[in-house]
Amino acid sequence: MNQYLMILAIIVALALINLGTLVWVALLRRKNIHLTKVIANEKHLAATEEEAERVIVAQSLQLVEQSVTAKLTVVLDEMVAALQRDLTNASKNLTQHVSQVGTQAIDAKLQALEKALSDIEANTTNNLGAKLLEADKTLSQLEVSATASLQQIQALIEKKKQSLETAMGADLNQEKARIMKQFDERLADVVGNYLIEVLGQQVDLGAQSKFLFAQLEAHKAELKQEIDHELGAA
Amino acid sequence: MNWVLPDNIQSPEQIEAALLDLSRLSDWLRRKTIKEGQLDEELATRAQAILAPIEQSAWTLELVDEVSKRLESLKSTAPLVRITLPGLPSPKLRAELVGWLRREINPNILVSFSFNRLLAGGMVIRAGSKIYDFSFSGALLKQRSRLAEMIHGV
Repeated sequence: MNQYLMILAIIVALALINLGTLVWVALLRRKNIHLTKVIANEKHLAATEEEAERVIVAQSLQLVEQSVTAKLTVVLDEMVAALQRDLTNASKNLTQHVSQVGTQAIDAKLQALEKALSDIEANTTNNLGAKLLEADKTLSQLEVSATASLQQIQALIEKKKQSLETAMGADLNQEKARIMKQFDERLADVVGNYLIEVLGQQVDLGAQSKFLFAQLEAHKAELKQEIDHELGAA
Repeated sequence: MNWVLPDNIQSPEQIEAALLDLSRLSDWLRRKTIKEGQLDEELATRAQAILAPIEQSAWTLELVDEVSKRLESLKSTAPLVRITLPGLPSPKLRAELVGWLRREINPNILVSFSFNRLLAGGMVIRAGSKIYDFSFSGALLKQRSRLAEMIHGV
């Protein structure tokens, strides 16, 4: 029972503590809200001051700007006018100078060019004439040389042609003679063999005896000489 | 002894045959001195041809031996001529040719005959180291160019 009382006492105590805490917090909050309002007012005031300062500065700046702009415009206009005058004069002078210098340079260049051209023309005329003469001479020499060579070649060709014709003619005649001789020999062989064949089958030695003894008589001396020679050798 | 080489003994072969016949005749003559008998007729004929013109009555052993010796000598020493004809020569032509050669060239000359149909005509004589071509074929072949000319002329 006591325990229950203890617990109940504790709970009551805790509840009281909480309640006290809640009260304290409410008080603190109330104080904070007040402070927040003060701070907000101060902030608003400061902002207002800043705004006023800004507006004043802006207006001042605008006035200064307008003043400066006007003065600057005047100065700039004067400067532009002066500069324009200077530029015009300078440009005129420069143009004149450039024109003068250019004219002189061009004249000098033209003169040099004219001189160079004259020199070239003179040299070219002289050299060209000499070269033309030389070329003409060389051409003449070449023509003479070529003509001589051509004549020599023609002479050589003609000589070679004649030599070939002679050689070919000789060969041709030789070959012709050889063929004719061969033909004659063959022909003679054929006819001779034919006659021998025919005569050989109809030999009549009796009828030939006159011929035989005539041949012996015609060669008697040779036969006798040969026989005597044989006997002498033996 | 008046014996000369007869024309019917023409070649060395015929000398050999004659020597054989004479040998047989010599035998017969030796026997004859011992005993009488008849000589073979064919041998007598051939011996007569060899020993002509000596008659049979004069045949003696000495004569036969002498002729045999002469023939033996001729066989080795007589000059030889070879005649080639286009055909076989008749005995008459042979004898005529041999007779002419012995009469005109040398009395002991021997002749050997042969034939070659391709000669066509004429003859070829070989005497010693020389050849005499009297043949028709030789004449034709020797004159080929002339023959060709004649053919061209035709």
